[in-house]
This record gives sequence, C-alpha cells and structure tokens, in this order.
Amino acid sequence: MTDSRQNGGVDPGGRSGGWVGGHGDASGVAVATEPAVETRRTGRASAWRRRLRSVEAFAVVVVAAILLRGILVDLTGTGPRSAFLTAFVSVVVAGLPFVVLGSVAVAAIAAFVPRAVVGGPPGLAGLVRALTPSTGASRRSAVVAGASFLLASPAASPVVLAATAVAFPGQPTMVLARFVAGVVTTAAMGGLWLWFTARTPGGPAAAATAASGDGADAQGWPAFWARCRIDVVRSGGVLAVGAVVVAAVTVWLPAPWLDAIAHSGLFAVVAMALLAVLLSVRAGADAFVAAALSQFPAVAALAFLVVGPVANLRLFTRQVVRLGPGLALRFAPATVLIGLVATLVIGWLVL
Amino acid sequence: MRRYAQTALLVLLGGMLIKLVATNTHVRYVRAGYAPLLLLTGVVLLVVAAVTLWRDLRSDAITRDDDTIAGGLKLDGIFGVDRARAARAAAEATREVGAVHRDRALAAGRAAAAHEGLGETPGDLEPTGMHAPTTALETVRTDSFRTDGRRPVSGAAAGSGLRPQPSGSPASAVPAGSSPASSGPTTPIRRRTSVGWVLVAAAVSVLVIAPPALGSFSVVRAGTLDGSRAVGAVPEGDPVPMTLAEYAAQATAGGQALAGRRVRLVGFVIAGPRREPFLARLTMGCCAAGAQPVKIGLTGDLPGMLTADTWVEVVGVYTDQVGHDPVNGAPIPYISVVEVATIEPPANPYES
Repeated sequence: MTDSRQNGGVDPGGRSGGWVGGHGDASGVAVATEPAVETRRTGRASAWRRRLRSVEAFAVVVVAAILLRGILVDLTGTGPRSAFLTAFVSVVVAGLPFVVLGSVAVAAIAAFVPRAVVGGPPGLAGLVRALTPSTGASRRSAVVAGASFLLASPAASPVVLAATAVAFPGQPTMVLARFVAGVVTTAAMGGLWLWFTARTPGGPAAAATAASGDGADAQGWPAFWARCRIDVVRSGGVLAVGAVVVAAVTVWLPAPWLDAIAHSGLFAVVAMALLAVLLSVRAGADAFVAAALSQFPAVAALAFLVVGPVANLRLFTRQVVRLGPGLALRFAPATVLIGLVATLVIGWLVL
Repeated sequence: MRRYAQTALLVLLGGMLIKLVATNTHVRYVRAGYAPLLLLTGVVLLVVAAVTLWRDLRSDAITRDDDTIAGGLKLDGIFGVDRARAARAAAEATREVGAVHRDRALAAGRAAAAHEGLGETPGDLEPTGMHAPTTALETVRTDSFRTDGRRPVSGAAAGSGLRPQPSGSPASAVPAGSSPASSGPTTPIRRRTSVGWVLVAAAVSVLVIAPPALGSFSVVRAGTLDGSRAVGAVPEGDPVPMTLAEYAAQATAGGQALAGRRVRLVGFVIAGPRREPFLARLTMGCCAAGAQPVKIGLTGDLPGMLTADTWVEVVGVYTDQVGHDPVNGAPIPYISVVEVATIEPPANPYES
C-alpha cells in the first residue's frame, strides 16, 4: 500500500486523490495494470484473479484460518477428517526436509557447475553425455559431469538414498534395491534414448538437452537463490498433493478394498507404478509417499520408487513440449515398462 | 504464486517445522529422532526466505528508481511489481549474456523478421523440405526455440502454422552438449507455482488446527501388524514393561518366555467388532500416515467401562487365547488382565 501511494504521488498524470486517497487508488491501479496482466497470463486470468493477488490471498487464508480456528477444530473432530489431516500433515512434514535438501543441491549444481562441463542441466542430458563418447571433454570434466549426474539422478543421489533409508527404517534392502533398480533402469533408458533419437538431427545429446528442459536458467548466486525458492515451493507442493491422495486413500477407501488391492500381487505393483506416474512426486520425497501406503508389499513400494522418478506426468508434459508427442509417446511407456521389469527382477533378487 | 507469496510460504513452513520441534509435537507426525533434521530444514527455509526477500526488495527498489528517472514506464504500486520484474529480467539478461548469446539473439531477430516475410505463404512447409527458403526457416525455428527458452513455439512460428515436428529441428542446430538457451532477453523465467497452495494448507493445518496423533479410527481400519519379528529375551522386572509389538512377538512365538511373568503394557482402548475391548498402539514406520497398529485382546479381570481412545496401563499375564483381526486375518494375541489403570497419554503416542 505504501508503494501504491508513493507512486501515486510521483504520477504526473495525477489520478484524483494522490496521497490522500490511498485506498481508492489501489483499485484504480489494479484496473490500470490489466492490459499488462492480460498479456502475461494469456487466457487464464479471470476477474477475481486479477484483483486478488497471491500475496493478499495468502494473508486472507492465514488470517481467516486463525480467526475461524474454533470452527475448523470442531469441523475436523476426531473421526476420519482428523485422521486425514494427521496423515496428510505427517507425509508433508516427513518429506519436507528432503525436498529442501534436494532443492538446494540441485540449485547449487545448476547455478555453480559450469554448463560447458555438464552439457546442459544435470539429469538425462548428463547421462547421455556420459554414455556417448565425447571427443573434446577432458578427464576432469568427465568426472565432474559424472558426479553431477550422480547427485542429480533419482537413482544414485545420496539425498534420495538417505531419504529412502529414513522412510523405510529397518529395511536397508530397500535402499539397495532402489539403488540397483534405479541405476539399471536409468542405464536402460539411456540406451533406449540413444536408439530412439539416433536419427534426430544433432544426435541424442542435443535431444536430451532439449528434453531436460530446465536449461533456461542463469548461473551464479541470483540464480541459486531464486531456484531454491521456486523448487521448494513446487516440489513441496507436489509432495503435498501426493500426501493428500495418500491420506485420502488410507482414510476413505474401504479397508477391505485397500487390503484386496495390496495383496493382489502383480496388480499391486502395477497400481503403485501408475500412482507414481500420476503423482509425479520428486525423487527424495517420494519414499515417504510410498512408505505411507504401508499396506502394500515392499515390491510395490519399490515400483513406486523406481518408476516414479523416470516416468511421470510432469516429465511427460515437458517431453511432449520439447520433443513433440511422437517421440514422447514412444519413450514414456517404454520407460514405465523398463522400470517395472527392473523392479520385479531386482525386487525378487534383493527384497 | 508471486515471489512475495512464495517467500511468505517459505517463512510459514520454516516456522511450522521449528514450532513442531520446539513444542515437541512433531512426535505426532514423525519419529522422535527426526527433530534435528526438522530444525535444520526450518532454519534453511528461513535463510532462503530472508535472502530472497532481501534481493526482491532491493531489486524492486532499483527498478523503481530507474523507471522514475526514465519517466517512460510508470509502475503502479505493488500491482506493478511484475512489470518491473519483466523489465528487470530483460535488463539483467542483456547485461549477463555474453557476446555469443547477444549475437544469437540478433540472429534470431533477423531470422524472425525474415520469417515474417515468408509467413505470408501458407503453412504446411516441410521443416526439412526442398524449397529454397528451407534453410532460412530452419534458422528461424531453431533460434526462436533457443532464445525463447520456455516456449518452444515462438509467436512467429505459431502464427504461420508451423508446428515443431517430433524428431524435428528444435535441437537440429544445437551443437551437442552446448549450453541450452540461456534465457533470451525476451521472456522472464516463469513457472507455475499454484501447487504451492496445497503446502499453505498443510502449514495452516499444523499451525492452526494441530491435528492430534492417530487414534482408534485408524487402528480399527487397519489390520494388525504380523507379530513375526525376532524375539529377544524378556527383560528383568516385575511387572515387565514391554511394548505391544514385543508382547505380540513373544506371544506369537509361543509365549514360553512369558511363563510366570507379569507384563505391563501401555496403549489405548479400541472397540472390537463385537464391542469387546482391545488394547492398541500404532507402530510408526516413516510417519504417521504409514503407521501400523498392534492389537492385543483383553480378557480376564476387566472393569465394566472402557471407552475408546482412553489411554490405559494394563498389568497382566500371558494367555494362549488368540483371536483374528477381521481386516487382514492376522492373529491377535490376548493378555489376561490383572489390573487396569487409566493414564495420561504418553509424550510419544507411537511405538517405533
């Protein structure tokens, strides 16, 4: 509000009021900025959205929640709604530390590891670069590229493995199985990628760079802080959505049904893999979502952990945009299949 | 979600985690040993929030000054923040990108201009076709892809009805492994963050409602944990304090080790299918959502009234009576009760 009044003051056009009519000004200002807003969020802006900005909405939500506290507590009671809230909150609280750790690690890599070394953002691009024989790269840059890939990959990242160990206490085999199955899946994916994109102009590496998508970020400290914040908000939000789904399933799905699905063998494994594809929870936090569905057997949880990070809706939409639907439609189901096969084999061997 | 709202969310989350640990209520949701990690995360969140807030405030102030001096673009209070941001991002981009990128951007501009001339011919041009303008087109598409960062189909390309082909040229002119489009000076980086509102819901739930630890509702819905874990020796003491899981394991193993010993169990009461009382406790794996119950049947000298969700301390002796959980068919061992006392809920409601 202070800003609005200051700018009203220096405005030579002088909307009526200026310093005095602070409140009246605010609404006039909102109208005045409409065209700019329109162009930015094309087609999505509705009237109330333009007026109620997220900062104000945020304040409204928090204040309303505090004022209506008594009603909210009564509303949740002690039955299913209370259990739902507890389950939801518990998954978020358990997963949040690893979301933050992972975001900081990825932001650091994106911001400080030289682009020329990694060859685009870490992840698939890094893997393909490691797989394809590179002519110009020195040994040192290969080492850095490999290390960044490891740190950022869903299979071998220390953050992800630590999260898995925490989420499945007393089951160290789960960590081992995830590591092995994840590496196998990623390697198979890399091979598949080379095969699919062999005819792509520029070769697989260029396609991978395009597919990874996060390439438009700048480097250095500003990029690091900005990316930390946005990654925590987005990954944390996706984790929270997963937590809502899991809490709803454990609380409201009839117990015999859940039990029947959980003990249906292969179907349970496939169901968990598909759930992972739908929820798209970031590797690191996904272990908590999988562990929350404790009725399911360990192999099904492993399927969630192996398939989720390599094939999910978030990745798929990005691949469609970057590579076109044809390539993405062939690549994504193949990845799910590879993940499932790796899960079953490794799960049978290790778990 | 705007930048300031994101920062506010980070503050809310950090505060939530620190409050959970400070009031020791985190044991309702996660394992007790999780506290240091939660504290560290809370501090990191607050640091990120503080730094980003400081940067935002500072850069907004700078942009405001610039605009006032330039006199061209008027910023309208807090609602003008994003226009300011766009201008700033553009300025930063032009300042930061090297000569290479500037050249590329210029090339893109020239190519786009050329393309707009071509755009009057109807679309359906093959991206790798054999017409004369092909090379020009390819340059356009590649460059517009690269400089546009987040939007692969640039306005010019989309306008002429050109669509990127699957195996097509977005990547075609990208040298393998080269740096991908380091944000052209056109669009500021923008990703959707609406999903953050679900996090707001979580934080508000914790801070305002503070949902209690799971109780009888969740226990009745879930099948009892199979007592097939390794059994150790029964510790000293009379009565022997045991967790429900330990007792269930001993009982499933035959109960010889419990012969002639009095056992003390702590848990809460749930009602069985025929309203008979059971003693229950949730065993936490990673978090409350995945907690699995252990149920012990109560027999013997019971008081007339036991209400669900009351915490009790039971002293009793082993009995070979076994029931079956209606949910998953797992065996439920019984204990023959000697005495029952109502107690306050323990600090940590879960067994780990």
